[in-house]
Amino acid sequence: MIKGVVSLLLGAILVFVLNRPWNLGETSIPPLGKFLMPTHGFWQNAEVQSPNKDEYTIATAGTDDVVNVYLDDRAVPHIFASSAKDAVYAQGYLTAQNRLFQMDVFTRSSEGSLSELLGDITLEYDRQQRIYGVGWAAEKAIEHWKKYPESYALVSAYCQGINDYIQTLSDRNLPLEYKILNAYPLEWTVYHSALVLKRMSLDLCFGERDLENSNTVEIFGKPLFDSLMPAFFKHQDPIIPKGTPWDFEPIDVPENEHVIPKLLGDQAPYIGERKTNDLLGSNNWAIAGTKTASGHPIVCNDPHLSLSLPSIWYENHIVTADYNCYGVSIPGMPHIIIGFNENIAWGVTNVGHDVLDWYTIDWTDESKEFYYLDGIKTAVEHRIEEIAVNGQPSVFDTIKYAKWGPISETGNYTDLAMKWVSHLRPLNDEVGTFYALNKSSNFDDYRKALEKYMSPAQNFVFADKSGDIAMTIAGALPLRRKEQGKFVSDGSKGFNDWAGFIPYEHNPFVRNPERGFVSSANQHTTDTTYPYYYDAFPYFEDYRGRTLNNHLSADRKFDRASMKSIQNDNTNLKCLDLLPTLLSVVNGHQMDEDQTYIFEQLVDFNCIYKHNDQAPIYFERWYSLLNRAIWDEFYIHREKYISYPERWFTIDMIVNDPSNPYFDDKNTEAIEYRNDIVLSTFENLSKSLREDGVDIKHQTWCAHRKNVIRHISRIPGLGHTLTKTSGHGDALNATHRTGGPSWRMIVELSDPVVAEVVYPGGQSGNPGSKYYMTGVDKWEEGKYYSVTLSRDPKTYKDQAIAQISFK
Amino acid sequence: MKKIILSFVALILLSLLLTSFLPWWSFCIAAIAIPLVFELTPLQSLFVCLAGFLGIYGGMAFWIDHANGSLLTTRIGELFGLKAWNLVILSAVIPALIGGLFGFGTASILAKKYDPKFLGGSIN
Repeated sequence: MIKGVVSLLLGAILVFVLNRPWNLGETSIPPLGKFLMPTHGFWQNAEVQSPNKDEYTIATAGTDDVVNVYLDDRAVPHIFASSAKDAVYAQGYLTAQNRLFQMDVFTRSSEGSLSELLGDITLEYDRQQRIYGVGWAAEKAIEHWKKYPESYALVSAYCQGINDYIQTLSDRNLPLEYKILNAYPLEWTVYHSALVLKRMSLDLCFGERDLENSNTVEIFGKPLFDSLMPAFFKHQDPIIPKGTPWDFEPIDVPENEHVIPKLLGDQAPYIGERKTNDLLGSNNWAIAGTKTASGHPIVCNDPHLSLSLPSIWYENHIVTADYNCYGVSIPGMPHIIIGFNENIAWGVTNVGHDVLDWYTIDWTDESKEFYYLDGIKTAVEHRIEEIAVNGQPSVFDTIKYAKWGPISETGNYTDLAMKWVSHLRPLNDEVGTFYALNKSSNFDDYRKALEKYMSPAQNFVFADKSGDIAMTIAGALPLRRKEQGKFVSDGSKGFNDWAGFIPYEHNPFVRNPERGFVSSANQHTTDTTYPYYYDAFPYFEDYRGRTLNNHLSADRKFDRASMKSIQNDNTNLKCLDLLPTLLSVVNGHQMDEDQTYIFEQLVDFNCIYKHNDQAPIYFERWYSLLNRAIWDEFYIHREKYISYPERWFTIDMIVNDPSNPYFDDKNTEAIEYRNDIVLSTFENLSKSLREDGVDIKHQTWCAHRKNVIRHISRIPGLGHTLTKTSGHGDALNATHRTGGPSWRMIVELSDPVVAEVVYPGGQSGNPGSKYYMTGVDKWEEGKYYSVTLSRDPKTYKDQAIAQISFK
Repeated sequence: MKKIILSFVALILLSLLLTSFLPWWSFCIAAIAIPLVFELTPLQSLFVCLAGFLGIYGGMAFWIDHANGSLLTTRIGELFGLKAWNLVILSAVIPALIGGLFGFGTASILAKKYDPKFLGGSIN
């Protein structure tokens, strides 16, 4: 009897223990009983492929008509619907079916509500995100979106599709990550789609150097700042070709004496901690038929983003009565964002213009409830933010808002308010931009579509079947006085506000230039003749743009194969510009065994960064040591957050100005010149590498960088280590440790349109699916998939792995 | 012997049915019901439950792992610092252990006398 009771009790205790989550220090363990049970847990997420085509119908009230979807052998959905509303409903449903957790994390990381999912480990992140006012911006955006009923109806239909999928979920078939985290998805609303759009803005235009520039001027003075950090690089090949005339009468922006306000406090907190990563960028270009072998224009795009599993992009194809469009969408937002249809192709790269400014707040007293604006005592507004925390009570923060935007209260430093283009009420039907592009058939349609676009500003490349090529810088760009916004602005003067926005027709733009191609790689948008002032955050790109234009201006006929080799070009122009000078300085000097080895590798190096080479490691480390040694006057102030001379400037100095006083090391009594610094950094090179554990004779570039595709919420085991990734941020194949070309697309506007695409991930967000990592290997190897754009369902039906009907 | 086999089959069917619709721990109901209905001795219950749950849930885990090409178990294993096959075994052992405890416990409480004969035998 006793035995029996004890046995039952033990059993019950085990059930209890395994039925609840546990915290082991920083790690959270899900209820293991449920998680490991083959009928309930992660086992249910292991996709078991049947040899037969999967066919099923989803009963729904969300569509007006039947929608048929065919999943091809990469699980790309080909959606056949009679209306756009039905198509985007299906798009929403399928995207959620494959990427729900990703969408959830996107919106939470945007708004600052990750802690509801992940517990207090993300609380500091969430609190900071609330100070950036993203949720506030999303709320304003959707109120404005409602003014455009057609566009709003489409977003709503997409959201309906997402929710209808969420309704089908039970404990058993929850996406894997929810099981690991012991959490559940929430209802999706249009607000969440707005958060996804804001997430893109956070990723692409949430940056500036106001604080850094102000601090640098304070330490070094404005004349030195101007001479060491000029705005234009003399070898720059801007996006809009040099000499393109500006066919408009510019708006007069009233001038005013510009005074950089004094910032209080010794150490600025790094309020811009979450800035857009300056390694993000992209390439796009369009070649006119006059320069292609086929006579048809070719459009190419590869956006460079942080790489994740699942991929940021979801590939899909929409066919309705009105349009037939293929490309990639962003999970959480409807329509195709980068792609092509039967008549046109388009792609995007990020516009590097500064659209975020910090303003000092002149408080009236210590209560910090009122500030001076043009001499008038003005009250702040308060917004109470509730941050839910998984397993704990909610945290409440009050964020103060000035006229400029949310205020970062920085302790004993000057409090600063943020004005950001994505905070502002949209000017137009921004969410209709992509729908309009998806349906566009010619140049005029494309221009009209982009007029609606707001943020994040992008360089939209374009070509159509009739032969037009164009580049439009689309998005709201502030109308600024000279140097306004380059430094922290005085927030007590309303005059320091933006004078408005550059009218769309005055945004930089070019159509059918003489050179026969348009291109962008995040370099300077224009030459010095553009009548409106703008600045970069943090810097305009200097190497990819020139490399790309060197390729495209060659006197030859291009085809898709040559486009592939350009997209996968691992040549680093920065290396080509600098290495010969460095080698000529050290040549002939005495070297130890390691130094001799490194020198010989560099002599043979052609500046092409291949994954299994060693020379890229040496060159990059050498450059880094040089930069540090030359700008020692700057690096001693680095805790105060300052700006540094750009790489092109440093390299120009090394190559062309060997007796420049900046080569002198202030720590030594002797005066050093260029050759001394080049020699001493070369001598330190092997030591520096060995100190970092680099096996000098064996480690290769990819292994050194430890290229990785991380899981979207960094759950271990769900990411992927790359082993043959070549390239560098300065090369057209712009890879870095955790990022790179997130989508590669080549579209030839022949009849029919032919496209080749690849992305480093798969359609499914389920780590248990064979479609989780489909394209990774091909992407690493520089290979592509061919896609067809057909209006006939039979093209896809027979080879489909699954057919889904919405009725 | 026949009783053992019948109860083994019944356990598998019942626990499959229960865990298809009810929470993960509902196999414990089968671990209580089967010894009860078939009047199993404590040792018989222990054997039937251990073997039954190991068989059904281990079998399921093995089959899923195989059909999935160990894609998911490799990743989940990495999360826990285990190999894929470790997970298959663990996923079988947990219900087997719990089920065994419930089965043995139930039979022990209900047994009027301890029956020395392991396989079958009557209560005297």
